[in-house]
Amino acid sequence: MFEANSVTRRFGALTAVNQLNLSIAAGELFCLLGANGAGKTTTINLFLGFLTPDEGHIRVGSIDPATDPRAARAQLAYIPENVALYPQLSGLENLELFCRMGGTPLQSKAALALLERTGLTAIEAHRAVNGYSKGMRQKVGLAIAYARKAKGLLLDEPLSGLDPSAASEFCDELEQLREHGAAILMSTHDLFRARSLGGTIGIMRAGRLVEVLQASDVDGRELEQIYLRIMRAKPAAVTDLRP
Amino acid sequence: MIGAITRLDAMNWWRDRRLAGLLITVTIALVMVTAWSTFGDAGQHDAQHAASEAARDQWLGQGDANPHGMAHFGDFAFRPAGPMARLDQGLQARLGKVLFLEGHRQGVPMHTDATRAGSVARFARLDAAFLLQTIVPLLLIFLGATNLASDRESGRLKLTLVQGTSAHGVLVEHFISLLGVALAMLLMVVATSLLTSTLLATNEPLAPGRLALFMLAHTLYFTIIAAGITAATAWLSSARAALLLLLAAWVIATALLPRATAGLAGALYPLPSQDAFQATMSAAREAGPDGHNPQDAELERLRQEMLETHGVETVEELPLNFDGIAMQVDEEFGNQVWDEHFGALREIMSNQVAFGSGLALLNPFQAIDGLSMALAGTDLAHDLAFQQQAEQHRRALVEALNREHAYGGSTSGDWSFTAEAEFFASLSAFEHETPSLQEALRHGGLAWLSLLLWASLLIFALRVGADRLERGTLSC
Repeated sequence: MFEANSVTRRFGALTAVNQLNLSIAAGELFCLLGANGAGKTTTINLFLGFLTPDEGHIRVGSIDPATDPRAARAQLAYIPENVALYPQLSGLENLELFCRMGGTPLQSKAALALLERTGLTAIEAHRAVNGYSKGMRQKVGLAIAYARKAKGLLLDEPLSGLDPSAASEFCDELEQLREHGAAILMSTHDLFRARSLGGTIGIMRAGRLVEVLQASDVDGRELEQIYLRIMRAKPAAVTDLRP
Repeated sequence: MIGAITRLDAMNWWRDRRLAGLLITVTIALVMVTAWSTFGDAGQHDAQHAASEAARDQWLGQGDANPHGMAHFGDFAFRPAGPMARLDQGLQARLGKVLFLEGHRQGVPMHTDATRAGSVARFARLDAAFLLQTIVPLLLIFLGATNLASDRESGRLKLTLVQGTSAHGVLVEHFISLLGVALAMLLMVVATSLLTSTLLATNEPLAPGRLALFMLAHTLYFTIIAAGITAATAWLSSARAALLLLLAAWVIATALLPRATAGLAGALYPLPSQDAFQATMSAAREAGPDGHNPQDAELERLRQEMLETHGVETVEELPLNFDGIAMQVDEEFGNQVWDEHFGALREIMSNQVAFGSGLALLNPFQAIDGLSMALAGTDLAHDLAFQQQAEQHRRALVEALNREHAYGGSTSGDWSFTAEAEFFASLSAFEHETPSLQEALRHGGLAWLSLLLWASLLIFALRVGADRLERGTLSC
């Protein structure tokens, strides 16, 4: 579903993504770990078609988002770190609006059911979003993703700022989506969640994907040690760490 | 997707108390000002009609009278405001609507201030056109500068585009939202004016051709405003930057550029002051024949010619009243002086107007300002046409009176001669003929071109902005 072949993206002198090779199949979950500025968000934006690669090729399914971003996005759902909704509208109205904009309008009853599925109560769903916590907004974002029935999910640090309970609920929902065949690329700083979600874990540093491993192959302590080793390595040594 | 963002904009504006308050305030102001203008126009129309009838009654009420005495008694030329002035009073308030018509004396031009400050005069009055052209754009800036820009700042735009919505679609819908508000205001103004006219039973409906073009010109103007606001919010990365840029553009377009244009036009083509103009005219007039002065050398020559022609010794023996001839000679010389001096003044004014029209290419506000006044019949050109018609009427009237004085049966020096009341009744009162729509639009080519060019330019900027948002070359 997601393919990146030798992708490089520069911003002036800064190489944000450097020779990235990545492949995520349907039903697979790939967690991207890395410090701020490692290139995680740039990678997601490349798949979304908001950025075009300077070198290499990107594919969403069979579509190149650089040449046809709208067709690529039609197959995707996206949840950012902060799901920005229209504050004057209720969670339900926001969900209905985004569904209408996506060309798949939902009946209020179905929309409410989706929100309830993510853990929002009916009362909360009818409240204006400007009174929502971050976790509640993330749930609306997840409901939007559900409604799209997208083949691929791009999640940009969606767990950031969520309390453990909300993060756990969110991960449970992701697991369900993955089981239903969605390909998921999630960037996160949360090593614990990345490992507990299973799937593949990639660690980025300075635009390079320097480590790829299976969550099932490492325990939490090992993952932390690998991550810290990569982060603490001198820049010149980073290339040596590539698998 | 179609309409979702437009509906969202409407909902957001309505639910934001400040914006809703602003919308309601401007709406109420437009309705009240339009209704008040129509009410005021109806009152003025009645007052002018009554004054016109009173003046005619006075004219007819003189009974048998001396023709030259009647030339000094004079008549009035009233300029009807015209129904479209309910929407745009233009320069009327500053230029006046009544001219006193008298023998030997032309209506005095009082254009200096008005011509120099033609565009800026907007701020001196309150009418529907002022609100539509200056306040509605300001309202649109407040409504539009925050919607798309804040969507970008918050990340909502990205989420929106990921839903599969095209950036073109998003921008077009925001554009339609703003244009819709402006057109609703325009329609409300027209509807209020029509409704008030019907309620007041005024006999002058808004001229359909002029009204249609007035609405078309304002639609183009609002297209420019809505496209400009949407393009600014697409190209600039923050709502604050967009708001500041748009407010700066509003101030420059509605206040600075019109003032600068008026100032430059005045400097490049200076008009003489009222006193200087009158002094020059008086000096030129004194150099010619004086119909009231029996010692005037030029009239003496004419007198001798007539005596020789008729083979008589004294003017009293002439089969006509030489005083009437002398008055007409005096009058015609006065007309020549007037044509020469006022012609020069008109040329200066035309140069100023042409200069302003040229600069309207740079500023759509000046373009709509000029077009709106022209279509409403309240611009300088319409005023000059009124003056010209009044002057033609005055000349015809005085010539008829002088002819009656000369050939009506009296002899030279007989100032007690009276013509019959029927003669005075046969002289028609002044009737203003509004210039045709084609005439009104004769000088509007550059203004239309300005509106079309600006609309095309900003729609192009909107399109490029959408392309760049879609491709990610503008951050979203």
